[in-house]
Formats: sequence, C-alpha cells, structure tokens
Amino acid sequence: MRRIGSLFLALALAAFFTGSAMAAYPEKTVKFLVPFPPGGGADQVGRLIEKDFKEEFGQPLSFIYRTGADGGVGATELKSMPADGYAMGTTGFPLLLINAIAKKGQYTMKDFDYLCAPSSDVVILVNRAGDAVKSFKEFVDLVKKTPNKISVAAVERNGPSHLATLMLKQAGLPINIVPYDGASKGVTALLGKHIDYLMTLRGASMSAMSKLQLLAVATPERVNGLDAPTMKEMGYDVVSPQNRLIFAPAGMPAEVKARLVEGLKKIYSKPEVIERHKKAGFDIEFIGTEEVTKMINDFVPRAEELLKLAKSLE
Amino acid sequence: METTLFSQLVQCTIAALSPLNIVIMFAGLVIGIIGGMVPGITIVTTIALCVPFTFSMPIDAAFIMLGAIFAGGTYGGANASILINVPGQPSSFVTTIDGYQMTLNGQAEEALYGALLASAFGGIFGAVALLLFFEPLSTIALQFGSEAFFWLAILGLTTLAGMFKGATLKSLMAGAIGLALSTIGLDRASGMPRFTFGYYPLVQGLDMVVMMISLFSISQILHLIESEGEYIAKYDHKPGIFSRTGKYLASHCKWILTLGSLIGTVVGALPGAGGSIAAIIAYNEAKRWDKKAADYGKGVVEGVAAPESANNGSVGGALVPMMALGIPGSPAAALIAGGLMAQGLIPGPTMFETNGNVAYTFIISFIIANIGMIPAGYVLARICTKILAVPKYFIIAGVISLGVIGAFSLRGSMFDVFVMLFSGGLAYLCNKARIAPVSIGLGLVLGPIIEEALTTTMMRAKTMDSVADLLIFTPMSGTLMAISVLAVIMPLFIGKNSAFRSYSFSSIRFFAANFKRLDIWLTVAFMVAAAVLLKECENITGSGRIFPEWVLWSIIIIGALVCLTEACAPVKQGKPLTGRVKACIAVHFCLSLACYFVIPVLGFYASLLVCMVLMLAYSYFIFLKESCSVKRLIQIVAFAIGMTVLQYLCFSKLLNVTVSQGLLF
Repeated sequence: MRRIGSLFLALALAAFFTGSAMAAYPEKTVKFLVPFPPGGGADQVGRLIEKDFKEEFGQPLSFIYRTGADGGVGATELKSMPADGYAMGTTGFPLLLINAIAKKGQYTMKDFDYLCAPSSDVVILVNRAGDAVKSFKEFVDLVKKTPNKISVAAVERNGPSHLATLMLKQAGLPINIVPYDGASKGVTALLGKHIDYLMTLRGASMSAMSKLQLLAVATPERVNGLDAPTMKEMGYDVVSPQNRLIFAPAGMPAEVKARLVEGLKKIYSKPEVIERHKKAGFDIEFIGTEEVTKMINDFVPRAEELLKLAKSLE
Repeated sequence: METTLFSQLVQCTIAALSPLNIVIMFAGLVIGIIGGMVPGITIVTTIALCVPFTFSMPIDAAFIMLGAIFAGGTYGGANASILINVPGQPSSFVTTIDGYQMTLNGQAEEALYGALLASAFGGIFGAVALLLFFEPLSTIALQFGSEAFFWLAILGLTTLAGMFKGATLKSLMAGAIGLALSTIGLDRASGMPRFTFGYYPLVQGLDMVVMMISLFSISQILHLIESEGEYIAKYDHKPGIFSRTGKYLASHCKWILTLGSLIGTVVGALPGAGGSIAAIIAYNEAKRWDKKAADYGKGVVEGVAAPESANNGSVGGALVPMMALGIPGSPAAALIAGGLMAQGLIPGPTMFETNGNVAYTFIISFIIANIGMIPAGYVLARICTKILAVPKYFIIAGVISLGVIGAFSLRGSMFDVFVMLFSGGLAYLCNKARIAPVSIGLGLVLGPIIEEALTTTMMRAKTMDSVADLLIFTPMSGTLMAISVLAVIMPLFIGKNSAFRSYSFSSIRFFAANFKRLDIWLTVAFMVAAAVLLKECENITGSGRIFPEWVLWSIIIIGALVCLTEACAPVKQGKPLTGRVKACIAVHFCLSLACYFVIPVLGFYASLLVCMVLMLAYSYFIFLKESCSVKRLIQIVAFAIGMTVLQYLCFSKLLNVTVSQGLLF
C-alpha cells in the first residue's frame, strides 16, 4: 500500500513539474533585440505589439538595442543568446541573408529559428508624376532605344530595391543602376530631376506618393490597391521580397517554440493590431514559421548570384 | 466665412498656450536641454524615449513636447561645449572653438547666453521659414544633386585652411586623418567591410559620438591637468551679463545671426545633411564676411552665435522635406513624423489642406517652444556655471567616467570604450603637436558625406561621357568648386598669416633639436600608418577604393610638407612640462585604461567607482602633495559614489543600457 502510495506521489509530482514547466513559459521577461536605433521601423515591430504580447503571454518584452553593420551586429549578438525562448529579435528579409553573405555579421542562416514574418512591403518602380513616360512598357521601350543611358536608382545598397534593379538588368534590360542611401535621398533625387526612375519600397515612400507615378511592382502577383502590372507579367522576372522577420536563436525546445509561434499568430490576427499597424504604415500579412523558413532557403542561391553581379558592376 | 492664414495662426496660438501645454513645454525643454548637454546621450535617443508618452496626450500637448525636446536638445549641446570643451551633441562641436576660449577668458556666461539667444533666434527663424516658405525652400533643396552635396561638403572642409593661423598645413593633415578614419567600417559603395583587418568589431566603424568624446573630452581633460590653478577657469558671476549679451547680439550680430540661421535652414532641408555640417559652414561663412575675422578662435561671441543659430535653424529645415514631400530629412525628423502619424496626421503636402489646423498648431508649438527655451535655458545655464566652481580634478575624474559609460551606452560595445580611450590619448598628443583634434573631428563628420556623394555621382555619370560632366561642368558644381578652391589657396599664400611666410627655404638645415619634436614624430607615425592602409587598399575591389586612396595619399604628401616646413623653422619652445605633471597625466590615462580591462572582472560601475577614487586620491595626495585628511577622503568617496549612482540611474534605469556583469556591480 505504501509503495503504491509513494509511486502515486512520485507520478503526481512528476506530472506537476513537467506540466508546470510547460505551462510556466514564459515565467520572466522576454528580451527583444532590435538591431537598429530606437524609433525606427525595426523598433516599431516590437513596440506595436508590446501591449498585446503582455496580454497574450503574461510577461513583458524588454527591448535591447544593438546597432551597427546594417543590422549585422544585432543578429550576431542574438545568435549567441541562449535558445530558451527568452530571447528573440527582429530583422528584415532579405537583409539578414545579405548580411550573412557579405560577412557583415558573424553568423549563418542556420543559426536561427524563424518564428514568423508578420508584415511585408512591396518593391515598386516609380517616376515623377506628370512625366512623359506613363507606363512600364514605355519605360522598357525607352531603355531599349537608348541602352545604358537610363539610370534607375535604388534606395539601399544590397537591399530589396537594389536587388530588384539587379534582377531587371540580369533579365536583359540595359539600365544603369545608382544605389542611394535611404528612401529620403532617393525620392528627393527623383523629384529634383537628378535621376528619372526609382526602385523603392511602398511603405517608405507612401507619404510622397502624390508626387510619384507608379510604373510596376516587383511581386509574383498584382498587389491589392496598387494599379500597376507586375514586372513578371511584363516579361521581366523581377520578384524581390521584403519582409519583417521575427527570429530567435536556433535550438529552442519544441513546446516553447510552438507556444511562441501560436501566440504571435493570435496577436497578429487581432483586428485592433492590424488597424494599429496600418496606421503606422505596415500591412499585416502573416507568414508562419514553415513557410518563412522555406522562403528563405529558396532565396539563398538567387541572392548570392545577384550580389556577385552587384560587385561586378562597380 | 473665409479663414485667412493669419486668423488660423492666431487661433492655433491661443489653443497652444493653455496652462497644461506650458507646463509640458517647460518639461520638454528641460528634458531636451539636459539630454543634449550630456555627451553620449543623443537627441534621437531622448526623443525616442519620450515619443511613447505623447501617444496618450492630447494632440497639441504632444506637439509642444516633441518640439520642445527637439529645440532644447539641439541647443543643449552648447553648454557642454562651452564649459568643458566637450560637444554634448555632434552638431555643437564647432561651438567648442570659440565657446571654450571664452570660458578660459573668464567669459563663460557671455558664451552661454550668446549660444542660448542665438539658438532661439535660429530655431524661430527656421520655424517661420518652414511655415511661410516651405514650398520654395523645398524646391531649392531639390536642386542639390549628389554633385552639389559633394562640393558643399568640400566647402565645409575648407574651413580647415583658415582655422589655425600659421598651422594651416597641420590642420589640413588633421582633416585628412579624420577623413581616413571615417572610411573604417563599411564601404559606402558596396556596403562591404573595409579596413577591418578581419577584426569583427571594426565592422561597425568608428561611431561619431564616441570619437567626439575621445577627441574632445579625453584629450581636453588630460590637458586640464597641465593648467595652473585649481579650477577650469576664473569665473565670477556678475549681474546684468544676460541683458548685455542680448543687446550686443541685437546691435552687432544681426547679420551673422541671419546668415547662420539661413544657412542652417537651407542645409537642414537637404536630406542627409544635418546640424553639424550647417554649423561648420555657418562658422566658415560668418568668419569670411566678418571684419573681425582675425578674432575668431580667440573667444568671440560671434564664433558661438553663428554655429548655434545654424544648428537650431537646421531643425526647422529638417522638417521642410517632411512637410513638402512627406520625407523626413533626418533621423530625428523621422521620429517626429512617427509621433505625428500616431496622432493620425500623415506628414506630406496634403497636410495643410486636410489637417491645416493641426499642421499649423505643430509649427506654432515649435516657435513657442523656442521662445520658452530662453527662460528655461537661462536657468539651466546658471546652474551649469556651478560646474566651474568644482575643483578641476573632480571634473577630470567625472568626465572620464562619464565618457566611458557614454561611449559604451551608444552601441553596447566595449570596443567603443577602448577606441575612445586609445584615440583620446592619441588626440592629447596631437593637441600638444598642434595637430588640432577639432580638425580631425571635421574630417570625421564630413568624410561620409563626401564619399557617399562622390560615389553616387560617379555611378550616375556612367550614362555620360565622363564624371567631369557632372562633377565640374554643371552650374552648381562649378560655382561651389571655385569657391572651395579659392578658400583653400588664399590663406596658404596670401595675407599676413600665410603658412609659408615664416619659413626660410634658403636655409634648409636640420636643427638637431628637431629630432626630439613630438609633432614631427607624430606626423611621421601618421604617414607610416597611411602607407600601411594604402597597401590594404589593394584588397578593396570596386569604387570603394578611390576615396580612401586619395585621402591616404594626401596624408602622406601633406605630412611630408609638414615635416619639411617644421624642420626648417626655428623651434618655438613652449613652457616645458615638469616630470610631475607628465606623471600625473600618465597616471590618469593608465588608470582609465586599467578601468577598461578591469570592467569584465569587477563589473562596470564598480570599476568606474574604483577608478574615480584612485584618480582623485592620486591627484590630491600624491600630485598635489596634500596631507591625507579625512575631510578630503570623504569628499572623494562621496563624489565617486554620487557620480556612480547618477550614472546608474541615468543609463541603466532610464536608457535601459545593459552593462557587463562582473564580480561586483
């Protein structure tokens, strides 16, 4: 009788402890690493869900800023944090990948678990409103008539808009590529007539849209609410993704990861969260962990090829 | 009923002036000024910390707060520049030139009030320009293509030529050194690491604020040990200085203030150009056109008024692209834009039509904040002058410890701390060799702008026959280039203080004493370093190679000229330093370095505490040979503990900086 009793007690204790270990995550503050300065777009990823995270998980987020090397320093730091579910961070895709290839960070893509990609942005080709060239087709015709005489600017170096211009060139259009450092400088140069065509990100140039004319988008299919063809349907295989990424060091326990992913999915489905993001200029388009991981792995070879092309053009 | 612009503005002003808003404004001003004053805390951080608080405020209160912090923060840096020769903000580093000189001359209050009034003037000017002229301003700003940016930055660089009479060549070399330092890190053309020698922490490059701390703070503080007297400078508070300074500015400096504010507003409207380059150009131009040009650098209030009005004017200017195009022109403006968007306002050209009231309220709040800055700044300035009553050894220990945590807090990197200490020591040696750290700072600030503009122009020019088509043969480039060339040549060859005048080439004999000269050895060291980096340049592919090669070759060529001219000149003996003073300086420097190494062992704050106590104990009991009294000991320990607690509250609690843990705290 006593033996059965102690066995029962042992089982009960075991159940209690393992059960509570699972139910207990998270039992303390979760660190959220932002690889860019506070107040910017990356910071917003965490700030916009700060309240909801606390509601959903019962623990607050604590923000850590580690800037440098276009996000490379922060990612390197996150890699060496313990993979226990109490450290995660945000970055961009394909930024994370590019930094790894360019050795701006000391990590490889395998060092991380990708939890989700909550929002995305669209790479668009624009020129000045009122310009004589009014469509992508006219643009293409002009470039073919005057090869290597038309410049298309991008809004970062080795980022989604730059990659899009590289893809366009690779697809056979003889353009001259001029990377600028940031959407403000790129749009200003376009409006000041220093360059005539700009590949930029919709989110970054949204407030200037009234002065711009949209020619095409760099997505696999047409975008809701944007009246422009995809470059793909016009015969140029230019598909340049831009997603925000929430990631964590690789090797988290399976239950912890599942809980985190499920919670994030819930947060991003709430209507007030979607509304809040929309006001701040982000369109929520939640991509879950398996899809994101696949998207990343598929893009790696193409990115490597494009970066080699960029180097050869300097 | 048709509402005129004027009646709308009046309405908004009345709405903005409620008692609650006034309280919030002063709170914002104080927060901004203090944040701006402390080297290591940037305006961007201050604004970022406060923006979340504004979400729950009514819209006009939110605007007043943000505007107040922005204005106060931009001005606040001048206080530190003037009192301890350490720029609180990168945009105040030009203010150190005349501002600190004025303090040394016993005119600290004149400098502080001059900076305050000039900043307020600049801020109001910029805001009014924003309100009434943002369309034409924006059109002007759009005309500046990458080639114009390039020459504008070069024009800023030409300040070096005229800055130090008789040491033009050394100044130019120092500028080139600054330019070279700015190339370490990521190559701006391809975004790839450059000059990192495989050492990962160098990938981040040398952070601007860290370098400001090291070039000014550490070097200046070590220099303080050499000076006689127990305090930084003689200072007696005399009544009526504020009104006297105000009257002087109103009567003698109208032109300079207007020029400075105008330059600030226009330069601020160019995305990517900020308060620093505005201040540099304003100082340069004010000096060029002022009859009293020879006095600049010796401590005249004009030398403070010009850059300060420019950097506050650039705040209004930075908002121009945001209003006209919807594009924020600087990181701080982007934060403000975020704050506006959270209140439902989409910045951009439609703002005045759809939300006219709100937009006008925002600008009016900004103007009111600049006016309110005057009393708030006055009170804080009076408090700050108390620093001058603190014995200098305490200031030295305090600034070193503040520098360490300030440098660390920027990127959470111990490497930054090491860079700061190492380059601080080097900057001290440069100071002794008359290779001015201010010139190195100038190169550091302008280097990235120059290189980026050059690279972009070269890429654009691929569709043309040659780069020269863009870089030289366009109206804007041509004009700016001509002005720059003249600005460099004239001080070198013409005028009483031409660089070559005092050297006789006919008698090229090497004085044996030259071999002991620090400046020649240092120059040679820089030339060798440049040669090493030149060799490394061969590993850089693509256009990221061009700018560093030019700059490194300039260091070598100018360095050779410096050695030659200095070798031919009769050696000017300054007062030699006694061995005890040298030992004191060495001890302070070594203790700082020791602190860096001890931090991983003892913990961040513990190390700082011990370091401060040891420095002060050495200064008083060994260097000054004071007898070891309990009173002094208590003073030292209390000060160290007080500083540590203050730093802990400010950095770890407020700014959430996570410091390395060690055995202790």
